[in-house]
Amino acid sequence: MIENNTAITVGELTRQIKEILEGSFSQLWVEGEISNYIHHSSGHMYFTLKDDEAEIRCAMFKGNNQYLRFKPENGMKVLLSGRISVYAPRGQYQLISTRLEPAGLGTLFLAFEALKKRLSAEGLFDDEFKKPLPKIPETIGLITSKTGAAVKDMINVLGRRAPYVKLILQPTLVQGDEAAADIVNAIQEMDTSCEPDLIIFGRGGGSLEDLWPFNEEKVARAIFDCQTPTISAVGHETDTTIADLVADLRAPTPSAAAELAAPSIDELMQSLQTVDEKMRALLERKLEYFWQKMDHIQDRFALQRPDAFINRMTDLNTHLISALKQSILMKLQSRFGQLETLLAELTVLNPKSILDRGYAIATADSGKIIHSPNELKTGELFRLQLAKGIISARKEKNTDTHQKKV
Amino acid sequence: MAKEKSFEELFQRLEEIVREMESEDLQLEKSLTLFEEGVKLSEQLRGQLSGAEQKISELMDKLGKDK
Repeated sequence: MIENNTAITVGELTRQIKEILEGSFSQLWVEGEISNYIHHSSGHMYFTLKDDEAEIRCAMFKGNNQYLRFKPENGMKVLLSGRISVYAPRGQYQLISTRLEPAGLGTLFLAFEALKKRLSAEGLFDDEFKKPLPKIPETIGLITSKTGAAVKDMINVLGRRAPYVKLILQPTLVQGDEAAADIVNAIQEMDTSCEPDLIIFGRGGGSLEDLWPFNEEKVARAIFDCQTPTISAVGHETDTTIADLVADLRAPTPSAAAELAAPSIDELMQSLQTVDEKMRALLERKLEYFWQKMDHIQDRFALQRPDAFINRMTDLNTHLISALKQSILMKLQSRFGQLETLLAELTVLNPKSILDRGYAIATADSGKIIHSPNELKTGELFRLQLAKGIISARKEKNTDTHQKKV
Repeated sequence: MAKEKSFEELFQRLEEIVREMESEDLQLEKSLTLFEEGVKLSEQLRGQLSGAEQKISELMDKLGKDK
């Protein structure tokens, strides 16, 4: 008989079982067939995983099952990743699934995990090897299928947002057995032959098998060795490939890659505008500063020797004014002398002064001055201009003495 | 012929000009020269950007022509 004092409680035993089970099976892959599958209205999934020998209860919670790419069904063979959990109140243990894949793809998943682990240990995903992307790429190389939606999306987005970017397309296979080698060639050729500023490689969404070329080691190494910065754009946001991890930047989709690759022309124009305004403001500020400085210097100059400066200017001023006065006076005097002489000459020449002395001027009706009696016919009217008036006259006849009869 | 300067290099030069202009003890003349260069650069960039149209070529075509 076992003595009382060596017995343990059910709770204690279960606690120990829980510790051992959960500690030993915290991360594992299990293969089996689904039965008793229920997708509860809460979003959680419950089922049993079984094979010929045994079965085990499983749960996959909403947070994990929302990314499932297939719908589980009873009888389906699956590969499950998860951990063992013990539920003490009912004395039950179950598998909590974090990932679930159809069994046929199981080997791919294991290969993916293994390669990821190996390349990660080698440092291929390390941040220190990530090349900075160009801020404004002028040439972008696209490595993708010539006919897929990815290439159309990328050309559309870049054409609309950044038409200044020149695109070079290197068509490749993006699925199937030959795709990986084709992608490797494309990357190497693009990198060495035409030196784009940036390479985007990728394809649209698809199954794990479709995306597989981007999980191959040679593709990963080609991306790692590529001198040109790379953006990966493989599938949808939830599909992470090895290529995504090696690329310098991972874009969730091809369209997103095109947006991340180059700033939009609007952004660039806006920043040019900002720079222009800034330069203008800076120049204005500088000019203001210099004007102020000049004013300041002038003030200082005047302040330094005010007396000497003012005296000198006053002296100069007085001297100039008296010299000016002198020269103006002399000019005026000489002009006045000339004016007087001219006036005297004019007085002598004035015809009126001749009339004053008793002479008369005979003019015809036309106003013409008459110099000879022959210029008038007998009986013609003419005028005599005297000092103090005009006489109307008529010609009678010529006389020898050249005197007219009035 | 020297390779034409890239957008990015020209943008960088512009930013450099603004930084230099921000310096307090910069000579007025230098300020004017920088401003002139900056305005010219900005116009050049604007022209290049707005004049650009999307160009797409296939690498095979390009290599074919080069050879």
